[in-house]
This record gives sequence, C-alpha cells and structure tokens, in this order.
Amino acid sequence: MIYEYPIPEFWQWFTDLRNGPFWYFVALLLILVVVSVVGFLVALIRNGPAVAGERTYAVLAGSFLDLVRLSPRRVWAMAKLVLLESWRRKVWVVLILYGVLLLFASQYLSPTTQNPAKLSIGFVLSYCTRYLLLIIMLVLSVFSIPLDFKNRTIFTVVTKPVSMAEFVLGRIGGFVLLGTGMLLFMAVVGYLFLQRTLIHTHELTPAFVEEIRKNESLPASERQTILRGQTTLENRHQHSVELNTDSEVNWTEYEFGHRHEIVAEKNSNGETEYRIAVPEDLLQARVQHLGQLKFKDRKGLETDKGVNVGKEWKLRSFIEGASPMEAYWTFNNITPEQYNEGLLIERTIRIFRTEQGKIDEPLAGSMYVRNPDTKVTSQPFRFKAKDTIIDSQWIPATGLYIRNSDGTEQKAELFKDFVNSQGQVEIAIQCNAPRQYFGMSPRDVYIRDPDVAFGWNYIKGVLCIWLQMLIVVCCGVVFSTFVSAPVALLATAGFLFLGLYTQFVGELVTSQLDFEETARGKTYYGGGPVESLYRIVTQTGVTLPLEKTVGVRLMRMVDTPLLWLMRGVNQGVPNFDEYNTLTIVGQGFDIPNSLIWHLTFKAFFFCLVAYLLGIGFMRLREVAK
Amino acid sequence: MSTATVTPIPQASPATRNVVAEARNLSKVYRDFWGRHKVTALQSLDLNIQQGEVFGLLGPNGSGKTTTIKLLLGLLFPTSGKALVFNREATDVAKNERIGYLPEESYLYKFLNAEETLDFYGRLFNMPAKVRRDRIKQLIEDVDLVKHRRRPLREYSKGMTRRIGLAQALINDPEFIVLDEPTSGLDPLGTRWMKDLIIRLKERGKTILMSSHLLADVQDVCDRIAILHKGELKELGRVENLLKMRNMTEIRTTTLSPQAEAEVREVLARHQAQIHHLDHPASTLEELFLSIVQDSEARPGRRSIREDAPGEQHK
Repeated sequence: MIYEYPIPEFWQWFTDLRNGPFWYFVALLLILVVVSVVGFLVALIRNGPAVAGERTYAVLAGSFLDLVRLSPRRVWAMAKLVLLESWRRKVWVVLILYGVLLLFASQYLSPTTQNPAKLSIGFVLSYCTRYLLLIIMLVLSVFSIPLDFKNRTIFTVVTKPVSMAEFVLGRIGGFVLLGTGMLLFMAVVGYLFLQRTLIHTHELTPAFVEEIRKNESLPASERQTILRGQTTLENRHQHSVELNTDSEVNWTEYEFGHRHEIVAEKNSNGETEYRIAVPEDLLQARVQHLGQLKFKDRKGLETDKGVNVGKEWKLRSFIEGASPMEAYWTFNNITPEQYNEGLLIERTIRIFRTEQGKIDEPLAGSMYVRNPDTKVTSQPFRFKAKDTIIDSQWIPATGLYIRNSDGTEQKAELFKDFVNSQGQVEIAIQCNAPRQYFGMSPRDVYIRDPDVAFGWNYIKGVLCIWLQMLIVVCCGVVFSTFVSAPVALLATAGFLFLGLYTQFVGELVTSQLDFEETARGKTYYGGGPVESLYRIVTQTGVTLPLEKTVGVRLMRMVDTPLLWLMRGVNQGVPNFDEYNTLTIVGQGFDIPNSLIWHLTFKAFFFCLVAYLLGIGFMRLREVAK
Repeated sequence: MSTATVTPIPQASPATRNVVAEARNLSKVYRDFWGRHKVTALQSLDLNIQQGEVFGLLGPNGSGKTTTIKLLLGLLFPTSGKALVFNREATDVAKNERIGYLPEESYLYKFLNAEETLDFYGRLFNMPAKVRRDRIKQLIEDVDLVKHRRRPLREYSKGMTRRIGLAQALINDPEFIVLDEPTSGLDPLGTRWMKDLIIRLKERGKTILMSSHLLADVQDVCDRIAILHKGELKELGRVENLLKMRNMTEIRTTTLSPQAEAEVREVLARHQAQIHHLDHPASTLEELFLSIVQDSEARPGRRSIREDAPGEQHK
C-alpha cells in the first residue's frame, strides 16, 4: 500500500482519542463483556443461575490469574516442542523450495521491465517470501492443537502444572519463532539475490571507446565536446550515453528504472578512461517528506480536487494547462536546522493529453515556492515533464527571487520570505502546455530528505511480513482451540482473505449501510447477504429494484444487523494491505518509522485479543471429551 | 464451563486430614451438542483416597473407572458433585505440581526420544536445569531405558513405551500417582516389574490410584478397592476384608503322611466339619512363568524338567 499523506507520529496517534487506538481498548472491553455474557447465558440454560454465576466468575478470574502467573520456562518448553516437531517433520524443505524458486527466478522475470528493482523486490519479497511464508505458517499453526487432542498427547501436558495461558502462548510462540527463523533465512537469501541480480555495471562499447580515443587525439579546436554512444549489454539491457568530454562526471541515460554514473579517470599513460559505476538508484530508500495537497480551479479559487478526466484513481486529479489552475502542497516542519542548504523537491507527473502531439514529447510546467501566510511567490522553476518519470528540482536556501505584481523581481531567501513562522511552505505546480493536463496525487510531489540505507528499509519491509505472519499464526492457533483442524484452516484462510480485501469488503458493506445517501434518495441495489442470496436464486440482477413487499422488507430487516456485523468483523480484521509495504520498498521509498510503530501496535493488539479468546476457549473445553 | 479457581486450602478436620483425593457425590453425564442426555458415565460416586495407600478402581469396560480418573485430574468437568485433590478443585492447575499421571496408552510425543521427553515434562515443572538433568538420568536408569534413551519413541515397543510413560509420571517425584490400566498390554515380566514398582512407591509413602480390569494385578498390590459397574459404586473396602471367606478355615502344613491325613479327616468328621479340599496347594501360573524365565536366564540352553508325582499324568 502506498501512503498518500504523512503518517502521524506514534505518540501523537496513540493519544488521539478520535482516530487513535482508544477505540481498540473499547472494542476489547466490549468483546470481553459479550463473551462473558454469552458464556453466562449458556451456563445458565445448562446448569442454573448459581452455578452459571460461579463458573463465569471462575473462568474470568482464573484466566486473569493464569496471565499473572505465566512461567517463561513452561512457555519456552511448549515453544521448543513446536520447534522440535517442525524440524523433525522436515519443514526446512520449504527453504530448499525457496532457494530453488530464486535460482530460476531470472528465467521468468521480465527482462524488458522498466523497473527491474520493483519487479525483483516484488517477486522476492511478495511472492516468494510473503505468500510462501504465510501459507506455510497458516497450515502448520492450525493442525498443532487438534493433533494434540486427536493423539491425546494433551493429556500428559495439562495434567502437569501448565495453565491454558501458557499452553496457548507456548504454541503461538513456537510457531512465531519457527516463522521468524524461516523468514530470516528467506530475507538474507532474498537480499543476496537482489544484490546479485540488480547490482551490475557496464562498459562503454569498444566502438565508442575507439571514437573517444580518436576524438582525444584530435587538436583541441577540432574536438567534439558531446559524443554519443552505448554501453555494453549487461543484465539484458544497455544504456545510451551522451558524454560531455569536458566533464569529469557524466551519466548514462535513465533506462529500465536506473542510470549509471560515468567517471573519467586518467590511466598511467595519461589517457582518459571512463569507468561506469554501479547504479545508485536501483536499490534505494528515498525518504519522503509529504505535504497536504490542494488545488486552485480555473478561477484561481481554492478547491480540494482538480479536474476529473474520468479514468484515474480517486486520489489523483488533474490541472489544466495554460490556465490559473494549479496544484499546491503545504509542507510542515521546514526548519533551517534540517534544510539549511535548501529543499530537494522530487515530482512525478501524470500526463493527460487532449491533443495528441508527439506522444513522447515532455510537456512544459512551472513550479513555485510560496509563503502560506503572505502568499509571496518565488520565480518560476521551469521543467519538462515526462509521464511517470521522477524528476527533481533543487530549491536553494538563498538566491531566490520574489516576483512582484508589477513584474519586477527582488532577492529573497527561503526561510526569510517563503517559510512562515509555523515552519510551513507551499510548493505549487502549473501546467504550461495548452489543452494538456497534469495529474497530481498527494505523494507525487515531496521534499526528498536524506536517503536511508536500502538494507535498513528492506529490514523494515521484512518486519511487516513478520507482523503479518504473527497475525496469521495467532489466528490459526486460536481457531484451532475450538474447532477441528480443517475447519480452522478454512476459517484462518477466510480471515486472511478478508484481511487482504478489507477495503473491498468495507466498501461493499458501507455502500449498503449508507443511510445518509439513502436519505438523499440514492438507492443501493444488491442488498445484504439474504437479499443477495434471493437475487441469485431468482436470477434478479443487482441493478433491478425489488418490489416493496412484506417479504422484501423482512429480508432487509434481517440484512441490516448482518451488514452491521459484517462491518464490525471487517473493521476488526487487520487490513493486510496496510502491512504490504513491499510496494513502498519496490518503488524505492523509505517506509516511515511511524508507520512501522502503528502497524506493530495494531498487530500486537490484535494478537493479544486473539490470545485472550484462545485462553478462554481452552478453559471452556473438556480436554478428555 | 471450567470451575478452575485458586481456592485456599481449608483447615482439614482430623477425619479428612489424610485424604489425598475425594469424590463427593460425583456424577458425569455425557451430552450431545444440543445438551441432550446421551450416557450416564458416573452416578453419585462417593469415595476418598487416603494418604499412603494404593487404591484400586475395578470394573468391567465402560463402568466409569477412566471417567473417575479423568474427573479427578480435571480432564473432564463434573455434571454434579465435586472432585477434589489435596483439597483443591480438580481443575485447579496448581494441584498438578504434586501429582503424576500415567494414561492408559502413554500418550507421548513420538518424535521425541526418552531424554527429550523427560526434559520437556521436567521443564513444565519449572525444574532447574541441573536438577532436571540428574532426575532424567536417574529415571532412565530406573526404568531400564539407558540403551534406548536416544531413540525416538515411535521405535519403542509397548513395554518400553509404558516404562517411559511411567518415568514422565514420576518426573516431579509426585505425592499422588494416578495409573490408568498400568499393566495393560504388558507381558508377565513387565507386569511383575510394574507391580514391584508400585509396591516400592507405596513403601516410600506415595499415594497411588490405579484402575484396572485385571483382577489379579489389583489383588496383588492394592490396599483398598472400589468396584464400579455401569457408573455406580458397588463395593468399597480393604482387599483382605473383601476377599476373606468367613465361612471357611484354611490350614497349610508341610506334606502329611497318609496316616496323619487320615487322622485329620477323622478329627474334622468328629466335629462335623465338611472338608471341601484336601490336597497339595497350587502355585499361580505367574509364579511358574517367572521361575522358569529366571531359571532360563541363569542357565541358558537347559530345559527345566519337572518329574511328575506318582499318579499324575501329563495331559
């Protein structure tokens, strides 16, 4: 998942009563109350009020005491058992399979991809590591406890002083350790694969080298300053080169998502040799300082959205060229200490053409720096935009100009004139090409802070996979405490599916529950689960309204609480898309540390709730039945 | 729902001071998912097990022996009544510190070897590493599995599995040991070994509850027995009291001459005593088997030949 807006710092989010985790604790309390009430009612029906009250209290108090008296040694004993069993059942074969997948990966990874880093990282981390690991851990975790019941090995365990809290935690801990070991192996091998696959260099073709030598041998007045050639073919691609013979540093053309620096060096004979370095921008982790995006319409008035050209993603809208329309970003926390030399702005522009022109020809645009309070605007920074290509612009701290309304310019400084007292600055973009459009989303323009090491960013991406594995293991173990292994497998797989498609399910449910829209006359067809089933059986299309009969009203009465329940479940299930930070790593951006904290807290909180439920289920269960 | 609570141990009255385990009006009814009655496995069972005794639970298959044991261990929840061990509810995990349990089939993890098995169970008692190692070494010697300690349990014979099962039951040197069908499936040597071990444990002051349908085994080792049938307690008492035939007198002497035998008959007839049996007493098949095996081990290759007494014939 790509994050469009700045992620609030962890403590800021934690203490936010409206959007923070306060509601998680409320939900936990609600779950405990509901479970207790349901348990009491079941015991009441079976055994009467006195026994029901005593037993409900006993379970709750006993579970609490179990948690207080957890013994690390016993938990470790249970976890070690899981590790031993998995090792002796040869789970390490999966690692061999992983190695084989990577060995032959280069055969079926597309050689012509424009972003080999994204493809390789996506392949390694997403398909090989993430899916393989989650599936393996899902299968292992759901069979463990049911097998104990089936083989009755649980008898010899629960007749030892092992509480259910330790039993369940030991299983979870064992599988988490197992998964961690496997993930570490996969992560290391995957990293080596990326290095081996992506890090490469070229040489200038012999013909080009010969041309350079000949050029050098000419008298100075006859020499050409710019020479054009090619690099050799490496990793199934080569680069075009426009070499400035007067410069010590040149660059190859930006192709396949990267370019190489070309360094001129004198050899022992005094001849200039050109060495091509490894690509710097293939495995990188750019730190984005994101801002809040707003637009100005054709009349120059502020608006939240630009023009909708009809085919784009909802967070992206467009500005018309050669008009007062602009997109501008407000950046916070711009301090002289951090940006004393200036701002490096990176931008990615989407192009929408209403006039064909030359399809590859870049379009002209302008960028301005502006004070959010005084609206003082800098001179334009003109650029040529290519569709989806990342471009950068350096805004120096000094040497800027203010354009006055009478057309005159005066010298200006970034922090003195354009950054306000709250540390905010605006960056605005306009399209200069008539009848063409620039598309913008919030993260398309950002201030590039110093990169973090790709290795560290890779570790963060792996950590997010680990959090997903933690959630899957917890679910698998907890489901298996009260249902059989195949049912637990289905339940956990269903849970995983819900987690991967949380957004889709949420939209499906809320579209049926949008009472405000319904009050405004907008009707949603299709209905909830019961109505949908009815439509399937009667082959009534989802766009056709049903007659308002008593039966239909009854169906909708049943559907409404079901939809609410679905919504609750959907919101309770972790959104695995949030944890899919591999796209961020693949695109060469840093995963914000605050995001890691958020995801870690959510994952652990969810696992805590699942764990508490697991303890309760095990305490309710007769082991020998 | 579980009745697991941590209840403080109340001050016991003199009558209950030595009671290790107790069933008070204990009943167990198995129901289906909808709560409908299926089977009454146990009905209003009242018994207690005194400290230091070997208590036998007897009964045919399905009489409720194993259900009683599982209720006392907290593996099942009572439908009514109470199951108490060391004056705590049976579902109280803390009581497990002082008990050991050998299930009917030694349900152990087959992928572990003997050392790993005992190490695992030892850790569950929070035993420090050194204590655990020493205990494991001692137990493996006691159950005579030294040569097989590194083999996975899946390769063990029935007798070896029972021995390692017993070792895990004794890993914490428990005060109260529960043995469910301990001699089931064992050969006579294994049975003898198990019974000798039970006696040794008793001599060390342990309290043992064993269930069995093999009457001879129970008779040999138990102090008190309870006989169950269809979930009900039919008889409870000390073995020697229950087995005594009060309407008979038995006299054993060294071999009598025919004249002495005739005089004895005469005296008994004079006192109107009816003679039911006057002959050489018979040993048990178990004793015969064991003596033959011991003799064979001492003198391999030789067959033990007994001469028949005059008048006896080989069948």
